[in-house]
Amino acid sequence: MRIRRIAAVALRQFYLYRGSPTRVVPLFAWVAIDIVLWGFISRYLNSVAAPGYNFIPALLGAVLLWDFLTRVMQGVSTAFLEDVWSRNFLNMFATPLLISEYVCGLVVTAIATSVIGLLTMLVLASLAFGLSFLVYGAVLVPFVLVLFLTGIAFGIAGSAMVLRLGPASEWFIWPLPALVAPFVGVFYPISTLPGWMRAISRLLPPSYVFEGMRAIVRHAQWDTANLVIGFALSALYIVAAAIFFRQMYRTAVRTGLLARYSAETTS
Amino acid sequence: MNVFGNGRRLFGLRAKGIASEPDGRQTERMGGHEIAGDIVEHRASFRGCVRARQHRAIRVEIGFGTERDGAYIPQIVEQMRQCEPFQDPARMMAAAIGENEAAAGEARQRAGERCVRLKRGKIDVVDEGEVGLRIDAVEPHQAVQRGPVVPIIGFPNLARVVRVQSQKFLNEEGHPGFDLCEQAALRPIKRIVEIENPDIDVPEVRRKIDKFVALHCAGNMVDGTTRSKPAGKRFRVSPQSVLSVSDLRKSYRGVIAVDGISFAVAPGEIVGLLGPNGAGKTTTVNMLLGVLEPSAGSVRIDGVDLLRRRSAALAATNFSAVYAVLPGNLTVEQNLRVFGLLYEVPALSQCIEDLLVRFDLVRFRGTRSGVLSSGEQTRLSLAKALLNRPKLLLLDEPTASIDPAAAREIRTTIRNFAEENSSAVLWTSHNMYEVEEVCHRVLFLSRGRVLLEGDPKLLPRQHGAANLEDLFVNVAREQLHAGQR
Repeated sequence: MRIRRIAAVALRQFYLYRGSPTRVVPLFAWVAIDIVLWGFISRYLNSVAAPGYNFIPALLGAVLLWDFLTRVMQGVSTAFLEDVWSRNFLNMFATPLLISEYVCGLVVTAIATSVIGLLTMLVLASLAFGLSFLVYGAVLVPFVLVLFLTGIAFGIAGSAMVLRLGPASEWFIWPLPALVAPFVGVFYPISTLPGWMRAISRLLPPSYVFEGMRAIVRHAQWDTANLVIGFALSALYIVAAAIFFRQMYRTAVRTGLLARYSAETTS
Repeated sequence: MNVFGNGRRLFGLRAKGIASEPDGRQTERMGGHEIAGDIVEHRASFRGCVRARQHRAIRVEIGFGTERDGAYIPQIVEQMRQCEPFQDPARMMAAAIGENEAAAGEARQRAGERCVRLKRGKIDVVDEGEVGLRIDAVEPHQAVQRGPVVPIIGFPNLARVVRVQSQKFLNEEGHPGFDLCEQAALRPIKRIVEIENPDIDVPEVRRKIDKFVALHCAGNMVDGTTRSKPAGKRFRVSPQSVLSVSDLRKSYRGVIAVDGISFAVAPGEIVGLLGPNGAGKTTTVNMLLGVLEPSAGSVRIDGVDLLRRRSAALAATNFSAVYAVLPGNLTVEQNLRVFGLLYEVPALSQCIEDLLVRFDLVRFRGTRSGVLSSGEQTRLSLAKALLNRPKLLLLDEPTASIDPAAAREIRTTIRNFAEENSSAVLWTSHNMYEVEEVCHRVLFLSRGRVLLEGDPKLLPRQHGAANLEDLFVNVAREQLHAGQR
């Protein structure tokens, strides 16, 4: 892999953000709205619920982390969609650029955009609603890392799907977090779910993060082995997503879809 | 003289050859029937092929796969005679073979599809077992004395086409001289000595030669080969051929878009890829760009196999296509910088400055390319295409939306670029004037195959057309008629 080529993919995205406020505003606007909304909900729940349980770190913290995952996923997929929207595949993939370099470039972009979102949420949640991340301790770092990896994997997989199914399939990407959220227990413990949903949640890395987070807030015992499982799963997701993207790319090259992408199908 | 004695039957060969008789007399034969000289009955055989070592350079073969098919070869010969003055051997042969389709059908029944497969209306055959025209030129053995190559009746342009020396003409019994043409077709040709005639206009010949060149690029050939001589310039297709395409095919669910084309482009050579809409030009270009996987065949760019080492091959390539505009939401300079990084261009900033000046884009440096006029966008696309000083430049209708004055400048720029950098250029265009002005050689594609090839200044005359545009129209009509059939 060549750094310059990865940089080229990221630089293209940087140019787009630099010259377009409409791209920059969503980086922090939606997460800010979410934090404000869930911040007030948490504050209200604190006022009506029995004393002793603080909803701010449990609920608002969960929303923040989930939004972070969503931002990471969208960071990858939006960067990919920029090439879809500008019909740039032919130009990009007729260069020496490797698929791995292209995906790395998307990930670099996602890191930059998601960090902006994360910082916005941290500042707002801390200043407006008194959320302290010291509550979670050092384990917050692996939590964020697992969610980051999962978000990257979702983003790559979603992009691969669009690559295979054509531009109109981008709507598959946007509801992906909402589709997964019920299974990973962002707002409630996994034990709330019926058996078949619990089985699925065990396959999803964020489940381990949110379960761990709630345990820490409740000062309950929590097995750190779960974190290892979450890590392993997220790494597996990344590898699977990368393979999936490569396969979809190869299919698109073989069928001619890449060269005639706007046609959506070559049949 | 009985050239071919009775004995082992060779697959599908009836040969027209030029035999050097012991007394120095030269005779021509086709299908065992001498055309100019004594009529000789023969069967292709092992023993005969040993004698065939005495044949001189060129042989033209029509293979129908079975011995009994020889019965209607005289008809073909007769039709060839009636086609004088043989201005267009390709069409003539196609007509001759096409009119014998009924006979071929009988032969097909007798011999099975494996042996006889007639493709109507075009000369199609190179592969074993198919029917049509095969032109091989072999100088079979070192013992053969060199001498003047004699023109073959009806094929004046092939008279001095090619002399190929194979270093392996041993059959399975270890005897030399076995089935020279089969060897030439199926075994590695060790060495192409030279291609003398610059005006090769029969695509099958060119295809065969290109096949040799492709082999040569794989390390089989020793010497270089002189290619066509356009506009007073000769190009050497050598082991360093910038682009070598061999038997490239692409089919989509049974629909053949590109059907086994082979060609090579030499350093500094500008080759026009012509053909009506749907002929397979863009499919070919897409395969050369690595964005479309061929169904079969190979592509070597600057000696690198595109399919195996895509990134390395594409590092030596760049392109500009009317349908691949650069992202309109980046400025001119941003686009050049991004693609410069993708191609890992050294001293990128200086390179961008030079290109902005060369393509008169300095004042648009900070302008988003989406708001440029189509002509300005084309200039930007061309600037991008020259960023990495590609060894192979692919241009798909590069001047389609440019005014005549700007188009002329661009043609000059591209021509100078190719000459200064010894870059090969593959240029598709529907502007025949442009093609004639710029291209050293053209390939006419029709229905995914190379139908004609040659010097754009000479081709029309060779095929009875007033100019290149007329020739283009003829090719397009042929495609249309074939589609209707």
